[in-house]
Amino acid sequence: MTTPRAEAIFRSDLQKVILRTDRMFFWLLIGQWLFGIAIALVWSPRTWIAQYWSIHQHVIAAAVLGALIMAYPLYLIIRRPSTPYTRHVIAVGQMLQSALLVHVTGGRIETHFHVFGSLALLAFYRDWPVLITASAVVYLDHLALGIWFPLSVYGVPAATIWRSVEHAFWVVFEVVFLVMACRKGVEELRALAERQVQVEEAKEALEAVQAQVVASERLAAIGQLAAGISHDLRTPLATMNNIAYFLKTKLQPQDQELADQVVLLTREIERMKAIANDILDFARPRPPVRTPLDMTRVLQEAVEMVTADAAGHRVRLTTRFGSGQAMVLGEHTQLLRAFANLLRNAVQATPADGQIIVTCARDEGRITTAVQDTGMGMDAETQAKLFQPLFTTKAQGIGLGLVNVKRIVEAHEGTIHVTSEPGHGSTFTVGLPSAPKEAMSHV
Amino acid sequence: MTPAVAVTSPRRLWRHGVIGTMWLVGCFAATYLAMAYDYTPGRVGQRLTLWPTETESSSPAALIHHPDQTTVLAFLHPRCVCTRATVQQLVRTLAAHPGAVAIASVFVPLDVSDQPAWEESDYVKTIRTEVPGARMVFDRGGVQAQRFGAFTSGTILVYDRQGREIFRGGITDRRGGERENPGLQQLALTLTEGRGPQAEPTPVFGCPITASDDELWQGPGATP
Repeated sequence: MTTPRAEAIFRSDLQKVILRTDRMFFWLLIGQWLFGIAIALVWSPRTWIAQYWSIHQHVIAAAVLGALIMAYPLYLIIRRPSTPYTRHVIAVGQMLQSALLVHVTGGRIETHFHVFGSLALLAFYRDWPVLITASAVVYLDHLALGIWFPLSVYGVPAATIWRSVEHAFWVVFEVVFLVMACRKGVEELRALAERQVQVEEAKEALEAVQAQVVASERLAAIGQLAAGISHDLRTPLATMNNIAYFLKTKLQPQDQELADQVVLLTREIERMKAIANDILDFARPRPPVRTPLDMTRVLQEAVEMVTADAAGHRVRLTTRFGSGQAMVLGEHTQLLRAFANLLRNAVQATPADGQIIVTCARDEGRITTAVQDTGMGMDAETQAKLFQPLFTTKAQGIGLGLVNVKRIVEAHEGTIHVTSEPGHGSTFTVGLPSAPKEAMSHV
Repeated sequence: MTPAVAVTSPRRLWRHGVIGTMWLVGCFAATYLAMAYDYTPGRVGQRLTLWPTETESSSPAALIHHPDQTTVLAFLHPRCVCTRATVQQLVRTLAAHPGAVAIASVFVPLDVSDQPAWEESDYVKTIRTEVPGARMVFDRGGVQAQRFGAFTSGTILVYDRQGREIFRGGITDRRGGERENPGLQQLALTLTEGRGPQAEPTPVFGCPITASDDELWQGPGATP
C-alpha cells in the first residue's frame, strides 16, 4: 500500500518526467520543422513549367504547414506545460509532422519509420492514452488518404476501407508494447518513490540514533564526572552525619530551636546521600546479585522508609499484599531502593489527605506490584519522557530516580509501565518473574 | 515556462476546444492541399493510333520509329525533380526488358543561355550510363512533345513493331514517387506481352513541358 509521502514523491517525479518530455518535444518539433525545410530545399527546391521555375510546393508545405503544425503544441508547451491536454496536442502535432515529412520526401517508405519512432518518443510521457491519440491520428490520416489519394498509401487507384485496417494493425502492434512499457514505467516510478520513502525513513531513524548516541556519550562523560564527585562526597557526608548525630545526643531539652536545626541538617544530609547514590547508580550500574527473596517484605520495608515522610505530607499509605509470600530472584538492596524511590515520588506527587495504595499480586509466574496514588497525574507528553535521563518535574529533582528504577527492574528481567491521567493520579506497575522452584529449594 | 495549470474552468476548456479544433481542421486542410498537389496528374494527350510521320527525318532531333522493334519513348523535363522518379522506374523496367529500344526526348527551351546545362543534366547522364543503347533526343522548344501529345514530363509512350501506340501514360505513383503503381505494372505488362492498346492512359505526375494559359497554377487540381 502506497503511503501519502510515497504518493507525493511519485506524483512529483511523474510531473518531472512529463515536463522533461514536453521540453524534449519543444525542441524536437522545431528541429523537425527545420529538417523538413532543409530536405525540401535539397530534394525539390524548384518546380518548372517549361523554362519557367518557381519555389517547389514541398518547400512551401514544409515551411508553412510545418509551422502551422508545430505552432499550437509549442504555444501549449510554453503556456500550459505538463497538462494532459498539452501532451495530447503534442501527440497530434508530432504525428502530423510525420505525415508532412513523408510528404516532402516524396512518400519514401523509409520516412514512414518516423511514425513508429514518434510513437516511441511519445511513450516517454508514460501516459498511454497519449499513444491512443497518436494512433488515432495515424489511422485517420491513412483513412483520409485512402479515400482521397489511395495511390499514396496502397499503390492502387482504388482500395477498400479495410486496407486502412491492415496499416493500422502494425501501428497497434507497436502501440500495444509501448502501452505495456508505459504502465511498467509508471509502476517502476511508484516503486522508486516507495524506496525513496524507505530510505528517508531509515535516514531519519539513523539520525535519531546518531543524536541519541551523541547525547549518551555526552551524558556518560558527565555521569562519570558526577559519579566521581558523588563518590568523593560520601566520606564528608558520613562525617557530617556523625556530627549531626553527636550534636543530637548532646542536646538539652531547652535547646528546642537547635534540635529543629539538627533535624533539618540530618534530612538534608540524607537528601544529599540519596542524590549521590542516584548518580552513582546511574553512572556506574552493576548487575544485581540475585537471591530468592519475598517481595512483600521488600515492599513493607520500603513503605516503612517513607512512612514518616507520608505522615508529614498527611498522605495515607495502604498496603494490600494478600496472603503468603511473593518470591522473586533479586537483590534486596537494589529492589528496596527502587520501590522506596517509587513510593517517595508518590508521596511527593500526592496532595494532603490523599492516598497511596501498594499492592502485590501473584499471577502465572509473575509478581505484579503496583504503586497507585491519588496525586496530580501526568499528561501523555510527561509520561513519554518519564524514564529519560535528567527529565524531572520536581523543583529539586535531578531526573535520575525513575531512570534507575527502570534500570533495576529491567536488570531483574522485569517490566515497568505507568498509567496516568492529569488530575486523577498515577499508577506505576512493576512486573517481576517469580522465583523458579529449583531456586526455592535452596532457601 | 510557467508552472503547470490545469485546463479546468469551462471557459478555458471551451476556448482551448475551439482553438484546438481550428488548428486541427487547418492542419488537415493544409495537408490535403499539399497532398493534392502531389497526386494531381498532369495533362496527358490523346492516344495516337500510329507513330506520327516525321517531316524532317534527317534532323538530329527527329524521332524515327524503329521497324521490327518495340520502341519506348520517354518525354522528360531535365530540371523537374519529378523526372528523377520516372528515370529510376524506367531504368529498372528497361533492365528487365532488354528487347525494347529506348528513346529519351529531353526538353530544352529555346532562347536560353545555358542550353548545354539543360542537355547534360543528371537525369540525362543517368539514362546514358544505365540504359545501354538508349538514344537521346533534345527536343528544342518542346516541338516533339507537342507532336506526340506528351505535355507532361514523365510521359511514356510505347509503340509496337508496326508503329502502333500500345502504351501511354506515367509510371510513377505521384510527383517524384517511386513506389509500385498501376502505370509501372501496365508498362511491364505491355513490354512483356506486347499487348495493347490500353483502355485508358495512366496518370502522369510531373512538370509541364510546354507552358500555356490553362497550365497556370490555379490551386489544387491544376498543374503548375
